[in-house]
Amino acid sequence: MGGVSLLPACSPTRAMLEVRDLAVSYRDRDRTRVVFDALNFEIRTGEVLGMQGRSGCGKTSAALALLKLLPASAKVGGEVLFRGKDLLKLPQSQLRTVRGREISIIYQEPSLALNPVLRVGDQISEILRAHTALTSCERGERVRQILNDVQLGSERYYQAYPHELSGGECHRIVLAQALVCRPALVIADEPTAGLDHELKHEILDLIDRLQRDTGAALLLISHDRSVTSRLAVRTIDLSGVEERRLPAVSKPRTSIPKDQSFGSCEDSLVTVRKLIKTYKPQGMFRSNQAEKQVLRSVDLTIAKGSLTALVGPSGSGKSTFARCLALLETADSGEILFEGKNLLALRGEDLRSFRARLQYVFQDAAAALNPRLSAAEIIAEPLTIQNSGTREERVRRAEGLMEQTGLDPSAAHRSCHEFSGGQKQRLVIARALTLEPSLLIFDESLSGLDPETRDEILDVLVSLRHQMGITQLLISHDLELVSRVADNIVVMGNGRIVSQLNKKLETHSRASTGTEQLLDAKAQNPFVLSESN
Amino acid sequence: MKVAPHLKRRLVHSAFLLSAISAFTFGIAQLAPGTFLDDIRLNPQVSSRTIDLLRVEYGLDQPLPIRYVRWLSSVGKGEFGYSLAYNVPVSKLLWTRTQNTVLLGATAMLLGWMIALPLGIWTAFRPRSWIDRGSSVGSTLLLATPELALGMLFLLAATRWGILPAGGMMSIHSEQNRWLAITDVVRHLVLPAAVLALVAVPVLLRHVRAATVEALNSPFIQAAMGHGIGNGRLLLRHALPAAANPLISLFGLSLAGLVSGSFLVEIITGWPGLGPLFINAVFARDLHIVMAVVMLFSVVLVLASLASDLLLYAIDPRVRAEC
Repeated sequence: MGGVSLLPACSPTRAMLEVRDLAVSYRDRDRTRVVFDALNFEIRTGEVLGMQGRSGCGKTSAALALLKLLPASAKVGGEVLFRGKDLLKLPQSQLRTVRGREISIIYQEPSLALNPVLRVGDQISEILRAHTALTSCERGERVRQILNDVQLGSERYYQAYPHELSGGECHRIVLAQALVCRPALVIADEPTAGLDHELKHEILDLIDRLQRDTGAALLLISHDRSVTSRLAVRTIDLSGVEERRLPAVSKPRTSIPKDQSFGSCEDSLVTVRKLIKTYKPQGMFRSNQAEKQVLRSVDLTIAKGSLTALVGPSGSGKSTFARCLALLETADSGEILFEGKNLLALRGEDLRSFRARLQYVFQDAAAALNPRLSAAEIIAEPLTIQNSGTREERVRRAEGLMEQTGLDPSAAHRSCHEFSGGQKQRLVIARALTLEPSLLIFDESLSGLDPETRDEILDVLVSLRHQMGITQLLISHDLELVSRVADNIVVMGNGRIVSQLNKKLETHSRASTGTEQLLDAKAQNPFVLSESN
Repeated sequence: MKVAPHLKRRLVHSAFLLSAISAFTFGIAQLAPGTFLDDIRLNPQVSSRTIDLLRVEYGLDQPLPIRYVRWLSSVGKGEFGYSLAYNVPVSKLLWTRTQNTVLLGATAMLLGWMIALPLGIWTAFRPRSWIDRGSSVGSTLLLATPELALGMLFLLAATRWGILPAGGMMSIHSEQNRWLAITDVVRHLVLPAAVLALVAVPVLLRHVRAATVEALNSPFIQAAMGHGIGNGRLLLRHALPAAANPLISLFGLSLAGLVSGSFLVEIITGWPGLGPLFINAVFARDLHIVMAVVMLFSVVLVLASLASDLLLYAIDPRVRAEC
């Protein structure tokens, strides 16, 4: 593990932040795991510096190390000189005046970085309270102003709790938090992770504009080259630091030969007929809101052994459909036939045994893992619940599944919060495979991963289908991506299926209405690709 | 779902639950062998004819359902049955006894939370400090000590050094002056309340500490630290509201313990609460008192869980959104 090579030298006198030989390592039982051991870079006043690298290479560790925010198990060495002061040597009391006021940070997962029981307006105001002598009225004024700057001007947002906001709105709130004290440097850790194409550009535009307006320097961390290259003048790459394990699956990359037969592909595993789901208004003060129909009569057949992709813009009802299919939500009416059995009529024991046959991989891998369990415990948990096998057998099975999903089996005892984002996603997939399900549903499980990791996970999915014959439903907003692996692509819009493309049969059906509007709705339209396939 | 219909439904549920408990308890109590008159029968001066007359007079010759309905109608009149041992309606006995028990229970609960809350929060904030280690050892010791032994120990200390009165609720001549009477009750209260509080503290402390540790480790608290929020503010304004959920449920349980938690301590320290009344009634087979005390416990339990649910609703916006 060598040091990270440096960027073009710049005059040291003008650098606002100088990082010299920054080293981060974690004590992991008896051994020490080095994340990086000599990271050097500098940021000048008002400059945008990009930091990129694959997931797991230590980008987030670097960001947190600058402000001494790493957990106690981390060992940090080197120097972080901010306007001449070494932040690593500052006492906590002085460090606190730097955090949030002079250097602020935008966390990777905004929905987790916001306190669920405080109003978001108050959460922004708290930062002002910590760093300024403003009265509460003045703070309220300033908060409304910054909310306006991030385009959440309405009073509703000030009073809202985080769970009442959408993902994009949460991103704007943490952006407002980072900027409210007008810091000299903003560290943005994956500010666009998990956002769909359109939202990603909106947030980047906003960051770009606000950065220009405030003149703050920006350290932009992202695995996505298109993000860093768009805003940053210079970019450093951390990828060289750690050797990466490739998945043990020896399968050709992604694309599938079209003439391949998928066994009994014509047999349908799931048939959905006229599925309708309506959300009713909830809560004390919302009784005057109208009902929202999310699924308007959806019909779909998923063939056994196939890989079906369900695509569509945010709010088109993809996730709701998947959740209804997995019986995580109850559809209002319609039929879901799973191998001929109507799922909506299942009760008790039948329902329980069905749940093992279908596994759901959630959008947010980090939130779907219990931080108190080790990797092996997480993967073996379904077996523990079913009480199958001895403890040793379960651990062996967990290690086998880790190998299969491209994780290092020797890390089985590690607590899952020590894994990076991409590795967590693999853990979740490994856990889903434990009970050998016949249908796997991936709900946006590929968003928020860097391209290499994403390709590797796509490889894993393809190999699962070839080796184990598992039927998969892949939900995504990125059509280009899924079209590389899926043999049946279903486009949803406004609660209906608007277009369907079967690669194997080369048939293409499309409901006449809606699709064109859907196609026009996006400037950079991923759906066009489906027509050319 | 709004609060009012939810509340109404909960109250209807509670009414059903309470009537089921009353029927069940009444039936079980009747299954126990013997009646109130069995002790009198041992007395050679009382003739069996007198006992038969008493049986008819007290209605003990009637079948079970009729006795149950009679008891219900007396509940309707607000008498809660008739005590055969004391020869008065149960309500007259119950009222002062309940006041005494609630006074003791509330004092102990207040004391317990006043110790556990700050200590739990502090030990969560500074884990492995000497306070944390000390409180962990202390609470384990207390947890392992039976309530009875702790009570005896305190009584022993009180008699040995004579600082506090060892038992009872009032001294004989304390009623001449109102102020004296109050201080006298307080002096009597210290010992049983301290024992009860010390019994409750370890459990409360562990829950408070665990909930606070969990809140402090959550990403949003890490984020607040990154924004430079000071420690005190971080703990009280950010972490504590987030840690409140399990504590509110626990608070509901300790509310329920207000009347039922102090039995043993009341008996060994001679505190004239529900505990001694209940035990004596059980031994004397004075059924209506037993019924009344059991029903009182059930009502308080139901109300306490309702109160903690409402509190949860008021404090946590996520609960409000789910309702």
